[in-house]
Amino acid sequence: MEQFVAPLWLSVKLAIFTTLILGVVGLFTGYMLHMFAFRGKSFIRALVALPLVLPPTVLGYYLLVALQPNSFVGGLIEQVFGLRMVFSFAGILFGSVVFSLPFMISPILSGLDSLPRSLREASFTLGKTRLQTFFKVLLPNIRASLFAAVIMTFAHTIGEFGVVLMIGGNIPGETRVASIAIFHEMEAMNYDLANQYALVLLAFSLAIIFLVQWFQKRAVLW
Amino acid sequence: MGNKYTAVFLNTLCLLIGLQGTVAGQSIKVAVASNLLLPFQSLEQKFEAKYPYDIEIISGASGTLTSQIANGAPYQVLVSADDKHISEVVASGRAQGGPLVLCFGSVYLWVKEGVPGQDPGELLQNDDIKSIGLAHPDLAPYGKMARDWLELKQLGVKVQDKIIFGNSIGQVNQYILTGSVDAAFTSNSVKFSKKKLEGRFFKIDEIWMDPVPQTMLILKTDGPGLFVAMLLKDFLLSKEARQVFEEFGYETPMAE
Repeated sequence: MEQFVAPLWLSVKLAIFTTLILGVVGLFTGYMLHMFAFRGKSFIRALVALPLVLPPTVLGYYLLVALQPNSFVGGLIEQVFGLRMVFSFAGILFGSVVFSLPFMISPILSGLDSLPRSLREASFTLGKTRLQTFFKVLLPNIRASLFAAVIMTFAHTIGEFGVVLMIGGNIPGETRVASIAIFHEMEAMNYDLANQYALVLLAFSLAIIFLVQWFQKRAVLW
Repeated sequence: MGNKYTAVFLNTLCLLIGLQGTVAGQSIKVAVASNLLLPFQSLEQKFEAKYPYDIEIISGASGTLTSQIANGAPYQVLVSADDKHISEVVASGRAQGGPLVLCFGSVYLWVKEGVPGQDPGELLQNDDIKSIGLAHPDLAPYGKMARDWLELKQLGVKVQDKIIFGNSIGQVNQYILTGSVDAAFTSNSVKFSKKKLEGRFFKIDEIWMDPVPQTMLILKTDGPGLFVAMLLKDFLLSKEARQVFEEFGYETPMAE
């Protein structure tokens, strides 16, 4: 039983950490892109959306090459923090953060863009600073988008496969998340186990979609 | 109110971080070629019953595992389905000590039920055989052996369009068990496993074909990991382990 739950738990842990990190990154990016005018803004927007179309193997390959202990970055991280970034939890966490980036940032940005300018301007006229306006006026108005961003990031991380397999491999308790466990149990010819993992993930995905739809219906009433 | 949420949040975070450490204990990671996964799962149980140490098995094509090691994968032991990949690892200076042959495997051809004939070469050309599973020759030694055999039998061109490549023997076995191919080249593990399988097996045995040496290598490790790896090495050479290999149809080298 414990062995069965371990990959599921690892998936959940990975998703929670990814969502937490991306929450901070997403709010910061949203704040910078929405509140300030600067050059190269559209380039940053494109960069943020890139993982949406990039094949996971491309990302996995670049991350593996960049982070392996013999490379400059990977070697530096290992020397300074004593952290190995490939075939470890830290590595798949980093990969997940990059890979799920658009799922957090896009809803936040489109939510912010859809708000009328007058909201922001009224807040400025009343003497609020940028930060106050962002957190006290704009964010509460895009609650539905924020919720969608968090849920989609979480769900997307649970369903990740390619990036994790490439930079994480298939190490039990470290990088064998639920989606990889299916792959592994298939290879080990344990079809019952593969079946159970697949069923759990299917039920989870369905529940998430229901949750999002239900919430979006309700959000209109707010 | 805000404080309560912060407290819950911090508690959860501590829990998550705390649990990270619990996996530790004394365990080693053993990278095993896919064809050996079944015998190694049984060996793992026997080893863990005997010693207070855990081994964790990671399976994949020998080529995939070798490339992962080159990229810094934290394995302590590698068991490859051939000696070619092993020599690559030794040459890159990641090995501790030399390679060691555990047992010899052979290539088997599996053909689905209901195709008449006894000669593997003729069977493959039968029109009922529409797809043939083969582990990718670049990654899996068994696949390479099977492809060499096809070419020497001058069947390569004739059956070329039927071949479905799998990433490893494990994947080819999936094709067999799910019935997605009509024939497949695989290892002895499946034939001798306790899975119910319809169809027939043919041993691909030619005078020029060397048996596939299943080779193990201890990778550069320090401290307790090395000790467990040495224990495992001795265990894999023991009578008990040889028996397991033989159960799965491997030939073991002469006793030491």
